[in-house]
Amino acid sequence: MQAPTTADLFTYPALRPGVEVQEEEDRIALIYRSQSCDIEVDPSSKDSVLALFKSIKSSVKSTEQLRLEYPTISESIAPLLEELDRLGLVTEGRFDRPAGARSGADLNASLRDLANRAMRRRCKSSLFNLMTAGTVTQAILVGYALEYYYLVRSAPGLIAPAMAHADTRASQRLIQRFLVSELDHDLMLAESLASIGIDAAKLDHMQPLPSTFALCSALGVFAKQHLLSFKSILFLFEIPSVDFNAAFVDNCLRLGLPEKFWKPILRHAHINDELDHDDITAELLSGITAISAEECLVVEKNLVLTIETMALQDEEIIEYYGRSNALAPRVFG
Amino acid sequence: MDHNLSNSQTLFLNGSVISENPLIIKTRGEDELELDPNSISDEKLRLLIGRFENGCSYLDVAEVLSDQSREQVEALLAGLKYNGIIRPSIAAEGKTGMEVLLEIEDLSNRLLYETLYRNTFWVNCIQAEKKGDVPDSVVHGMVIENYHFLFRESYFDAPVLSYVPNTRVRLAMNAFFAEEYGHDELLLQALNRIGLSREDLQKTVPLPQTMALCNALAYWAHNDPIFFFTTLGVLEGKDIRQDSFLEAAKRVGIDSEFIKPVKAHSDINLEGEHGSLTRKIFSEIPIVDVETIKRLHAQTHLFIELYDAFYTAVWQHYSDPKALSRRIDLI
Repeated sequence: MQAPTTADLFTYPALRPGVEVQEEEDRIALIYRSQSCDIEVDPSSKDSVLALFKSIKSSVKSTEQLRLEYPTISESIAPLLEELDRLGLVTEGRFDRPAGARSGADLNASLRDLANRAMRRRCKSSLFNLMTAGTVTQAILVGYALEYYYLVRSAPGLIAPAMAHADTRASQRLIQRFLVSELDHDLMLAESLASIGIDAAKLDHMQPLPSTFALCSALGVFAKQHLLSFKSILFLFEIPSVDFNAAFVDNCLRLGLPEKFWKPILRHAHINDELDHDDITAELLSGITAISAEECLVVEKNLVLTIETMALQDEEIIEYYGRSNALAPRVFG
Repeated sequence: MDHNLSNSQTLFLNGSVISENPLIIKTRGEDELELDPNSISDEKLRLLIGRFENGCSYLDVAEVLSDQSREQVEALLAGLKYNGIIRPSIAAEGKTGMEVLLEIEDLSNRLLYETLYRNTFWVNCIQAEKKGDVPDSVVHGMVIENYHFLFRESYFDAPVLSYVPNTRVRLAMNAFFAEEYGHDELLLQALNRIGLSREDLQKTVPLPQTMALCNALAYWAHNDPIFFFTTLGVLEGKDIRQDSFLEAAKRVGIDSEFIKPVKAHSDINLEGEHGSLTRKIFSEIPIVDVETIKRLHAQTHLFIELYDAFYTAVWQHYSDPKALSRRIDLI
């Protein structure tokens, strides 16, 4: 592994503020807080070395400039700086302004636009189209409810790891409250399933559809591994779906599904709307003052992937639960 | 609806005008939205859109809409923002990775000089000249505790092997892990020389201060990887040219065959410049945000305290030769 040298890291080497340079008879002493070190120098070089130290103490010059200014000791400058660095006496005299970084608020704004564009391109809203056409089957609606139940039941465990990350107190409180607001929502949806004869107690080993699990695992992995991605995609799960919910209820009524089936699902959707959960990403990102370009790219890709997976889930619910031999719920073995 | 628009924000048009009459904006989200002047004159609305194209502040907007109340202006801006027609632009605020690291190194050095370098363990090692200046049991105990630490290397290195925010950092950590992996076996060779087997060590309880350090590093690796990275330079000995502990062990006459494998581990670290790993990592981090910088500074104090406590505990516990073995089956 190639480690960067002092020459690689410092373009404008400077003595740390507070380093005192003292000339002594046959050496130069450098004193910094409770440290001191003596630099033994050849008498013929002493004046140049002293001048060099005073130069990097009081002005900002590049290593190249220093070599030109002190030609008699130019070959010694790099090893000298390396030793001073080893002793913690040197820093960079001029730092670049970080380029390409974005504030969290800026990233949030661009993510909303990206989400809109990605949804236009990727989402066919097949399930919604079936509902508006009035051709969705009962099996598909029940399948939707089962997949929804799995996601909601998994939510606390997926969200919880996000709370462990080092973060601002404000952000941690937001995530904690978000988690608390999601607790026990699976019980609501269990009522829904019970109304059509599906006992949630028998769903411990229920397997979701692959795309549902892909959404869950993405959320969970982001919560553990990349909090920024977790924060950034949360809003996708909380976007109000007024038209979808209305179409869902209409079709439940058309198909004779009981009120106890669709009402809890609707209630859960309304709870999220009332809590303004779709603003949660904006709130979480607004507290971040700087995000690197690379991290922004990671987040953008994860956002698009999540949208695409949601679209796949839509298709998969129709395809799987539309089969005559579909296992519903998907309890194997 | 978000009304959180501060006077200091610059508001930009988030898209382009695709029709003048009616006035239609196509946003970057590809929504095409017609703006209805409502209570604002057509002229003022177009003037406002022109201002947004170049960026303007809340005060600029209020100036254009001087005939509107503050509430009306705020409602208009909130609506435009909600629909993605305007976006506030807030500049990033932070420091480069190297700038932050140099601050943390300076802080660490100060704390090390004030505490750890003055603790009983290090003072006695630096001053040791002859047998007995550092008890053999302390030397052996240090290697035992180091073994416990290295045995658990993956507890704190592995979580950052999947460091998502920065590819180069992730690659550097993976390379480091490959080099560091298995160093506990080197120390085991040394401990075999004093009659401690792998099975003995499996039943041995590390000092609480060893585990406090180990668990702290693991916790940070999982939950605060950027802070974890700052600890590596201190742990791997960025600023040393030789291992002071081993030099002291030689001077006090510890068996050279005991020292040999321990030195092999130390040499790998020195030659691999593991102490510079933190520098390599932070030179690849383009920016660190303000809150993280504050946290890194604050937690450095805690880290150095944990590290200091580790060395102090090794001296205090292992100064008693009878305390060498902390076997769980003897408790």
